[in-house]
Amino acid sequence: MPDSSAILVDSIGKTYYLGVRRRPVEALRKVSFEVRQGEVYAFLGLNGAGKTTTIKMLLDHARPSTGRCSLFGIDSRIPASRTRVGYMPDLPNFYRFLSTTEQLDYFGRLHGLGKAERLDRSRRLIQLVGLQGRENEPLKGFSRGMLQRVGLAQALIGDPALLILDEPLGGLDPMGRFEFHKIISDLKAEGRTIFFSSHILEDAERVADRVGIIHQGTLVASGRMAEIVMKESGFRIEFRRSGIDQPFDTIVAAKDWQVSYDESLVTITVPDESSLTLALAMAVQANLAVYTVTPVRSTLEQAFISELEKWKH
Amino acid sequence: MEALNRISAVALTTFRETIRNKVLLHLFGFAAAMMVLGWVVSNWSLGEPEKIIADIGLSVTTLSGVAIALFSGIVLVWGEVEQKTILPILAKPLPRRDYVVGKLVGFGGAVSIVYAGMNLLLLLLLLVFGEGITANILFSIYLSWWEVLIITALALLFSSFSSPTLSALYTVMLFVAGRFSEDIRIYISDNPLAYSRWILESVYAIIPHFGAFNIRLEAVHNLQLTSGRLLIPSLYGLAYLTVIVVLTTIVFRRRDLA
Repeated sequence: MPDSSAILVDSIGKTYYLGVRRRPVEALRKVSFEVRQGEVYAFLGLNGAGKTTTIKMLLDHARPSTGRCSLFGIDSRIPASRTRVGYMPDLPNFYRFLSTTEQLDYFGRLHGLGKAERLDRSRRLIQLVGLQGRENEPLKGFSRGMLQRVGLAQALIGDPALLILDEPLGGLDPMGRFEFHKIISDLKAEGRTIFFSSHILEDAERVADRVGIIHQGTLVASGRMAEIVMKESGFRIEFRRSGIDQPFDTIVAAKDWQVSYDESLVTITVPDESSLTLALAMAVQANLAVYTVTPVRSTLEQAFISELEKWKH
Repeated sequence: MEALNRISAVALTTFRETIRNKVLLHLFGFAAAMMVLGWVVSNWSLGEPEKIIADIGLSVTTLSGVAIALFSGIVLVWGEVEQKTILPILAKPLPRRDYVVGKLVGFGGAVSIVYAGMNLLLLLLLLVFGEGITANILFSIYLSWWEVLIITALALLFSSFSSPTLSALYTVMLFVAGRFSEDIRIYISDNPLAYSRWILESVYAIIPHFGAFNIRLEAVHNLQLTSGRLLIPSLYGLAYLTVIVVLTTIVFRRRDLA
């Protein structure tokens, strides 16, 4: 096991048995990935893809049917594996009759912090998440966005080296999302590992170093953000047409490149640099004038959809 | 020491959350109204109204304590799982065993405070309208407290794996069976059939013997009580509670949180 792993998921599967007839439903199938210390890992998937189920396995909220996972090298079934972990659930909910201060004190005690340390951290975290002035109100009157702020504060009370955030930006307004991005960037700059699930790809694109894409309980892609996005990237070349370029058209058609025509231009999209070189050489041979060459960088959304399409086939 | 700190943290938070919930206050108000009604009824009776106040009062406080433990206890863990308040708690380095013990201590503490409040009201009624406060009345209150605690623990056990409706059903069934456990014992001694005898003996061993905690007759009529009559039920109550906590821990440790 690599020492640098904050999270190691090794071929976990989870089968639930539903109803009186105990109908088996596979929620996860042999999911494996690693999150290294200090990186931001976005765990992406549609609703019901298995993101929250995977997080449950990491935190021992549920046990995998097969495989195992560990946090900082400690089996996740052991409570001590969560000593350096902070977790914010999807739709965080807390005791309604307690205040933010009392909640943070409680969670601090569960981390084994002394009273002075709990007080000091609570005060700083209440400021960080912008709840000063309301810290002594019971949470029953809090909006979803405010509960998310409490959720982040409680996740940070143990000064965690690893943050596991389940759909952290789901209920936030644009301002809240902006602030949250900033907080995540700051936490990353402090050297913390951040693992977050999301179906909002824009968030992942902004902050993640690496990405995992899960679909119907199977991890369909995992890697550096640039690698995932580059799979769907290439170059677009525009040529001026000089009449009927029959030989060139035939060769291009045989290459399985994307081609489009208009009155004066031929536009070809090629997947990589070697194809670009080849296309340019062919154009010179056919006496075509190159008009523009533009690198095409796909969005994570395009890469995500492409991975899911590939998986379907 | 660390385990003790974690348990006390869970217990304190559970106690605060339970005691601030107005449902408990309403149940307390209901019990107080029942006691006042008992005093009114006692004035219409032909016998000794002072004894009737004590008799009805002790029954009302016990049953109200049981009702509070039952209705609040059956949603205790179930509610936490349904509302997902449990997720950030069990994401901390907190063993589920410590969570269960902390829950029982905190919730049991809150129920005990309400039970004590109801009994203070009863003692006030006895002091003003009854025959005063005797040691036997206090012993009766003490032993009934064990009954309330066992119902609390049973409700917690069932709420750790089933819905409130089923938990209520199981707890009420055990409460009723526990109240009539002596009848089962008598039936066993009269029953000649070996196979049903074995089943009944097993049932008798499992169900709580709430009769052991009932000294209302001795309390109302101020009859002689031996120390064993107090000590043995206390030890039995403690042993029964321990078994339930262990069972709850085993069940809850295996449970996937939805």
